[in-house]
Amino acid sequence: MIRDSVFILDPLPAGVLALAALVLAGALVLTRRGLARTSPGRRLVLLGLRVLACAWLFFLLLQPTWLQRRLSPLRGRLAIVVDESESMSLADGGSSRRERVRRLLDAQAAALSDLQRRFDLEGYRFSDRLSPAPLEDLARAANGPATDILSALQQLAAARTAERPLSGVVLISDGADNARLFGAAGREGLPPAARDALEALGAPLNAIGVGEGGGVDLSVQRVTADDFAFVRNAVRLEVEVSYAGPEPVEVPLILSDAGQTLAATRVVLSGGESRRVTLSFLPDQVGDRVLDVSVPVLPGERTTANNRRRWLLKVIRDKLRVLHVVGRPSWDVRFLREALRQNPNLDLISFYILRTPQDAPGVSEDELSLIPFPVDKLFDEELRGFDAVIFQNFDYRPYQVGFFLDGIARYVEEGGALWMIGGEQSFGAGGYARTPLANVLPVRLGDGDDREVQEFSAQPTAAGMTHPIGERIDWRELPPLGSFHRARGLAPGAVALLAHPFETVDGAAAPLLAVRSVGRGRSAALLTDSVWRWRFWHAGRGGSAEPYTRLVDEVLRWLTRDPKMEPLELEAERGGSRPGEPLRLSLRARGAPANARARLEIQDAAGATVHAAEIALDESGRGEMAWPAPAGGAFRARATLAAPDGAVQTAETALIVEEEGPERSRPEPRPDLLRALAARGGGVFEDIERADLAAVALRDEPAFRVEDATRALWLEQFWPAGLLGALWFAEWWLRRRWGFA
Amino acid sequence: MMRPVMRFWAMVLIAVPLFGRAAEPERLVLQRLPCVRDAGALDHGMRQWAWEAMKRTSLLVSMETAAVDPERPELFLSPFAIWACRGAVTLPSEAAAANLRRFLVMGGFLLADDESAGDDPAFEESLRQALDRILPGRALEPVSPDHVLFRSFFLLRGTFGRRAARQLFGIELNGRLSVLVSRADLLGAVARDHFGNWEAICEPDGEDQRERTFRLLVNILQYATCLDYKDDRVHLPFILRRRKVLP
Repeated sequence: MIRDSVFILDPLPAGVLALAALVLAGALVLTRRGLARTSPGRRLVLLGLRVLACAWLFFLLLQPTWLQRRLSPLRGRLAIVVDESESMSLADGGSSRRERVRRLLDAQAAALSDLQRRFDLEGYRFSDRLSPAPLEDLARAANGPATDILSALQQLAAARTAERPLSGVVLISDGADNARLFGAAGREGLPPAARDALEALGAPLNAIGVGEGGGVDLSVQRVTADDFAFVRNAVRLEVEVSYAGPEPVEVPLILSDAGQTLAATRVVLSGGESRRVTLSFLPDQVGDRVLDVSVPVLPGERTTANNRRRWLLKVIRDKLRVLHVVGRPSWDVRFLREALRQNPNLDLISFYILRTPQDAPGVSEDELSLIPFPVDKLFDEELRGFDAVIFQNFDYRPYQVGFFLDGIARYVEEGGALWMIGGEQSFGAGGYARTPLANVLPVRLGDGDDREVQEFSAQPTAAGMTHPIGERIDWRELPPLGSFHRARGLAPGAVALLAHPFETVDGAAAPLLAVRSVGRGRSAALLTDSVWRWRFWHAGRGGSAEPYTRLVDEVLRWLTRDPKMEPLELEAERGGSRPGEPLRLSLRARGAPANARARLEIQDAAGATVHAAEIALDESGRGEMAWPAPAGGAFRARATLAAPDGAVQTAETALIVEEEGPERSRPEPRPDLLRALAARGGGVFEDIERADLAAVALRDEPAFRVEDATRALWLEQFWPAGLLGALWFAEWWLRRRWGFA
Repeated sequence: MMRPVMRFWAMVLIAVPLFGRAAEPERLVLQRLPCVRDAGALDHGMRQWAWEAMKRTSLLVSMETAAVDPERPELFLSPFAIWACRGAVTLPSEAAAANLRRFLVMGGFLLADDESAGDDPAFEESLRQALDRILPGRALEPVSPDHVLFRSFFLLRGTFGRRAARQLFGIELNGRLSVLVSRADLLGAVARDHFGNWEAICEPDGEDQRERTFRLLVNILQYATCLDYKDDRVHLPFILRRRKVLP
């Protein structure tokens, strides 16, 4: 036990002291005035005594105190903090970083024993959080999901109290921080939060760096992009590519989706350089997509885990963008335009041929409101910006659109939508047979004029009664139509929803409204130009506009793959998943019988089935399943359900299981960060190969615990008051002697 | 006694052959509503109008007009009706007024043209009464010179008709011009006799005024078939440049 005595001041409140100072100062001023006519020597003596008395009185108001303490000495703590993140499992130069830490601790056993005699040694492991660990287990594992050095330092500082002071910290890590200190310690130095944490430790921070720098590593460091995008609106993403290696390289950077390249560029990089590159592409379909940004693997790369990054992009629709091209104004055009314009979810771009090359308005162009038909812009530059294209009674031939029919067909096959509506310039009559467009239409076209004028009532087919387009339309009350195109039958895979009541083609009713999925896109054919009667004639019979507007809306929704029009809907939980964690999928089937069972298959990027299961649907057609322990990677889940009519319904969605966390993608050792932390923290930095625990910087000032303390206040003692009285008496006595009193 | 609906379909089936005819393009049929007296030069004007519209534009218009009883469902065979009379229009019965109201609300277009060009106040008075029955509470309003009607094909300014009038009147339903009224005898200005001569002199601007009338009539048909197409954003810079609003 140690005894000591310390002098302290315990002043009265500041307001009291200020008032006392004012009073004493006033007293001194009055004293000086009263001595104006005396000799300088006497004035100095009397004034000096008064100043001494006032100053002593003011000092006593500060309550000087002797503190008598009994102290017991405390042992300082030395924290040994070892990185257990996954990057510590990487092997640099033969053995893993974790193994090298273990060897260091074994080799420094003597130094540790010596330190243990002087300090309380405490072991900690950290990854994304700090946790205590026995000294012998410090290098046991290296599987933490992240490296967060700052968080570890903050937790250490928070655990520090006066009773448990830190004498030093030894941080053993590769420094590959992927949290708040990622990229820190460069030109900007350590961030304020790190400086504050080091200050709060109150003890030197020593750092021992593990891992070899150098070698070759090309990596996609990060991709900055939104999680969702609007279909047919350009998506921009910023990619940071970094390179470590002796020679400059020029490498391709590729953005792809399921093996299909969406955008690519070349990047030139010198050793130690990072470069930000912007890529953009136009998503052409709604739904979840796994996008992949990759750089090639260079010879001798330290790790190939960071050469690719994947992320899940949800492509949604803002408004349908529809291009409506019309060969001639008509009542059919008028009512379709009205229906399209009334749809608030639709952005309509229209081009109507109001004057053909044969027409003669008889005036100059300046007196007409006509604009050029921007064929190149519409069918080349802007085509992929439309969700659907409607050709209504449009003859492509006079306007050089023939050059673009191949591109329009490709647009459909690659995810676009085409709706052709009849008229004397449409289908076979419009010369579309034997054009590329004929290959994507739902009907096979004959050469020449296939349009006929006759009255008939369209008949819904069996498929049309249950198809999402027609299931909610009551066809029975609709007026007869006045024309139809005699197609040569349905194209492969096409479905007729409406048919002629008595005209047949190859033994089947002639199609009147047919739809088809072509590649990734869809097409529809309405083989009449008199469907406006279902809007206006129907109104004349007391009917409403609903069947017509519903037909228009639902054809467009089906063409553009509105998820609500799909019979099956498959969704995966958002946010992705990590390897080994269950991934939940939900399925919704419209019109499925109760207790139906759907089959679910999950395939990897190579198309191999990695999981298969059955999902039981409840009465509302919903079902769920969990994929128990997925491995890392990108996958496609595909659900199939046999419909009551024998047709097989399918739904797909993309899945991503994060295969490479930041520990694998950014494992580069960061001795510069560790050196900066040690320098700022008052400790030393050393590479693990040269590290000596006996040489670390420690706070050697002794620390004590106060067992008890007694206070001796001067004001409670005689002599301070006696001294004050003596000063006053001396002044009084001299005043009397010198004749002032 | 045949029910009206059955009679309607019977007419339709008689009007067109049951079995197919080769590609006869569908033409716009213009229907005539009844007048108290004979419509005079109406047929000549409408025929010339249809011919000029087809010569100048891609429209296909039937050269023959169809007289229609507004009480009957045949009114809905075409969404375009003309009420052009020399004197009073035939006031619609309650049933006809209801049928015409539905015709207009559901997308029909009515052009009313005073063949007397203001000489006979009976047209305007009777038309107002008829419109009061058809669309009670809805008054005729001047059609703004900025209305898309004046740029639906030709860029129009100035006076129109046999006797110059600058102003047209109309009623909008659901943001669409559904009733258009002219007091200037538009059809009289464009009517030719069987020898190809103009049936009337246009006052005061003569042939220029007749030409403007043709253009207005073409624009009316374009508006009836394309609605506000020329209000689409893509047309605006071209139109403003031609109207010298933009350089």
